[in-house]
Amino acid sequence: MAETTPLCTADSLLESYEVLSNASHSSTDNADSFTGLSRDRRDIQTRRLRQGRYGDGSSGARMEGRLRKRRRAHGVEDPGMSYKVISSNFESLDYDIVENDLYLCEQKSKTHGHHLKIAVARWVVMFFIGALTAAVAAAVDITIDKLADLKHDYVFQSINNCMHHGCIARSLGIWLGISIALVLGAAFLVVYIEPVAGGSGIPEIKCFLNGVKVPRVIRLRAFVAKVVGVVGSVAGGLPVGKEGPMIHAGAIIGGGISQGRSETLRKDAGIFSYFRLDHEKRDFVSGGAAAGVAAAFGAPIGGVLFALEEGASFWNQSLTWRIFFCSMTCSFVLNLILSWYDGSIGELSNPGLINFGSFQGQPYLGYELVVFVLMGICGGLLGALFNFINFEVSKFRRRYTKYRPLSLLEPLLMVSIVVIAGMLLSFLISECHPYGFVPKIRPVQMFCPDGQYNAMASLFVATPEESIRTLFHAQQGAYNLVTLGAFFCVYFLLACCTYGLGVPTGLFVPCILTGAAFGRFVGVLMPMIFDDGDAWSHSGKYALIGAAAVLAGVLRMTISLTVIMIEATQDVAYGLPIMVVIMIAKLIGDIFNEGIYDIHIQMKSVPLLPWEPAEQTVNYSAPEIMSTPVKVLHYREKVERICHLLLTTNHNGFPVVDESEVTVSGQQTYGQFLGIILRSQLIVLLRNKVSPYISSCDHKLSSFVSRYLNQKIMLLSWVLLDFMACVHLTFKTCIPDFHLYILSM
Amino acid sequence: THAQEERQLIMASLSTTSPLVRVCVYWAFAGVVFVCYVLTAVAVTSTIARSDGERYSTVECPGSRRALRKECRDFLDNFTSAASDFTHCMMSTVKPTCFCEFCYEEYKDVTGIYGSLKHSPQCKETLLAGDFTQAIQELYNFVTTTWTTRAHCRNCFKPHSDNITEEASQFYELVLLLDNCFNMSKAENLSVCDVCKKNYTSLVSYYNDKFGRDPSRVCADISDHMNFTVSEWETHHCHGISNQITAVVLISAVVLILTVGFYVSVYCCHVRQQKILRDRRSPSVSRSREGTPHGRDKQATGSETPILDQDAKSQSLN
Repeated sequence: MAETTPLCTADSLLESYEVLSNASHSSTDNADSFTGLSRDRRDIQTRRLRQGRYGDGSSGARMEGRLRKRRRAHGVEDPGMSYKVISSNFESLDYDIVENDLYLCEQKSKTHGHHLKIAVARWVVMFFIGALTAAVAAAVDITIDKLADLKHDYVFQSINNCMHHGCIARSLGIWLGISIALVLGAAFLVVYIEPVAGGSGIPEIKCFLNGVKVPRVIRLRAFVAKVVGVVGSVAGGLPVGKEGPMIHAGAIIGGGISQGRSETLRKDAGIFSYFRLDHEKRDFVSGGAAAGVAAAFGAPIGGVLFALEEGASFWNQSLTWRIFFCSMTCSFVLNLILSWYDGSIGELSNPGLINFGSFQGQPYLGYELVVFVLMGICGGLLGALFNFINFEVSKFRRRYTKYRPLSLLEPLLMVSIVVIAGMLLSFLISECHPYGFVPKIRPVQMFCPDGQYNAMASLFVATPEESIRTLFHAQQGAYNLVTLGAFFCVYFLLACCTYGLGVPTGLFVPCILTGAAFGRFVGVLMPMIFDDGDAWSHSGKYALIGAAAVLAGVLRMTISLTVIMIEATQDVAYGLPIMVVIMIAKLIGDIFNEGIYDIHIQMKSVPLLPWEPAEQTVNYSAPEIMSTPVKVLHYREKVERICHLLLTTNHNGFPVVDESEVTVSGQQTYGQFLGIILRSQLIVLLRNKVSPYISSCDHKLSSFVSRYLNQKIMLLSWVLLDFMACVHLTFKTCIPDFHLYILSM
Repeated sequence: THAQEERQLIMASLSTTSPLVRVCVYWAFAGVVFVCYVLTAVAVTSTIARSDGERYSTVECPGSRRALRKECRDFLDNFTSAASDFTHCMMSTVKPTCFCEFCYEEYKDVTGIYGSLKHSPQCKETLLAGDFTQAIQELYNFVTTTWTTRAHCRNCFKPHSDNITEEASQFYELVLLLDNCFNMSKAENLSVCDVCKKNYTSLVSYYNDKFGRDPSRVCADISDHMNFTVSEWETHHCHGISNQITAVVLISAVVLILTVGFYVSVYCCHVRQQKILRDRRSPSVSRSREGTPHGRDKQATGSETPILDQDAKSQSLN
């Protein structure tokens, strides 16, 4: 390509990440080109870079102050804490195709049949991603179901019997023991096997889909830790859901199948090698994430929209179709498996892991929208509070409990607190109803007369999804105000503190459950205020609206959340109130702080770009935020210097410059930018001792890329050892000069 | 002659009785007759009324002879009487519930007649689909849903059989034992809690064992019996759970103290690490930002000075 636009180089950008936080926003803006957004954007950035180089760039201090002010107003960042720093541990994905002679040669040799084969393979891979995600989701669901049944049978039969024999302490001990054992498994997997499997995984996937390579997040090891861990943490009774982890698992399946190999197992099936490019992998990961949503909520369309809203910033129509196909497949296969599990094969009406049940026969009237709007406002406030508390707790955790044994111990204490809270609340607020008063509820007698169950205990004891379903659908009078209020407060706090623990935790379900308790509270309150029994007789719909409000207040998603809620309730009639409530809750929440996923992304110091650069960055030039000196390579470079650069920096790529033009219009520069060379390319070149100017078509580009990707670390050490020896001993005779192969831009 | 004398005497006496007495006699006779009439009428009407009730009213709509064939009319009458029998049986045994056991025959009648109606080609159309109210269908639905999904009566019976299950009969035996015990203690004026506790516990544990797994699917006869027994037992306030509370509170306190202790000790033992972040921006740029403030910008945007001052202040505060 003729255009030799100076790129905003990887080197300088990465260096900029290490710069103090004050300029973090601007530096991420400048990193746009690096994470490979659009060509136009990149040019703008480049121009800005150039401008900065040659202009006087003096508006920095003002900018800095403004940015800091803005951030403080958002209340997310605390001046003096280190969460504003952008970590240099993260690399970007290399979306740009390496356009050199090798690549062009290879493209020339490809026939139409070859392209067709790839196109078909894309659909086939999407099919398998959907099917496998569904299978995993079903396995997780069934295991959790069985474990919860076992636990319930064992613990609560014992409690029910102990009411007569005075052995309640022993039962409580058993309950604590089982819960702790299950959570211990999950925590161990996360803390000692794969730390990246902690949490919901959605922030990591969001980063990945937006072009940040989060280390080890798309690995088989993370998959195993996540899937097994989520079973432990949900069945153990923590206030968590399995939906976030399912989305992560789906994304890993997407990334794994499409690559045809596993880096954890060091196995290479040798298939789909043409998908081993970062932008191909990204598409499949989006598909997997969408399939995860489809499996978790029975919401295939919601899945596609989730991938669009939360995930990929790269989108086109054909990708929409493929992802839609993927999540559709996932839904279908999941229905098939669950119908088999329920004993009625072929009855495909069993949609997702959470089934909210249908709301038919509960109409809402116009004037109730006013109440819904108020609930939306409350949801926004509650969400903001949730995020604030969780942020503070997470800060505490990062500072004080980051040592492994401590972070292993923490979930265990948390689950004990949950058990104790359930026990004490059921004792203090024992609302008793006869068995069968509410159908399909796990009856726990616990401090109630014989033949009656404890409403509070049943909320705590059932798996969260069952509790949600009861709150949505139980008749008026199933829970009184005190039960709902106390449950809401306690569960809200528990859920706040649980997210971010070292176990796989989904956020959707605890938010929905908290919101449902809040909504049901309002629903019970309404007839008392307005004294008109019939008009306000369905508190279930208030539970639904409350759930949507709190969920939107915490997550700050809009369209995908709406569609997920509608699909999960199988009732489009509630579309309007859900939409209204979600919009309001998001708007209100955004006044105070960001969505919880963004907060956690920021806390991990991931250089994730916002959708738009901050307005003030127009006058802010690159040299003001980037570190100097810029690590550049020259057109002709010595091996020694390359080795030194590779050893002393952790940059993913280096700009190659023409040193002849050091001064441009009187200003000292680092040279005229010619192109960019990646660390991986350097290493392969060094390893193969490639002679200058690879121009023949002998070397296949694909082999070039995949050889490196296999064993990056090992290669690096080997290469460096080899070459350092070379450098020290017989450097002159080894390879006197090393011409870098410049990528033609 | 003697007889003649006597007749004359009577005639004389009659003639000698006063007209007032005669009127009274006549009225009395008439009153008796009237009372008899009224009583008879009442008796007759009441009999008619009763027989009406038993024959389920033979009211017919105008033209119904033409609308319904004879056999369909019979179907309708049979179904009506069967459903009515079932309803009557159910309502009379609803508190405490035992209709699963005692109304089984009636239920079978209803379903049997409905089944044959379903398979009768002539009457199916006219009776099941031909009207707006769907009365037959609705009635049948009521009967079946009450029987199956609400009361789960099928669970009282052995599969494919008309006999109640072993569990149910054993349950009833235990209930009977407890009832006897209640009666006995009342008769002998003993404390119910002491005497019957064993019976009660065995009943409860039997119930929990056999039916406690999924109480929402227990046959209504049994669960309702259980509920009544339990609420009767509860009136005696036999078990105090206060001694168990101390254990619960103790365990809770231990867990809470452990947690609080964990966080406090973590907080106290933490050694703060200073992380020094180096500014690696070009010195010339840094200097220009500190030294020559915003010359160009001032010209360009004009009135930004207050904001600058404010920012400078906030920076110095930090």
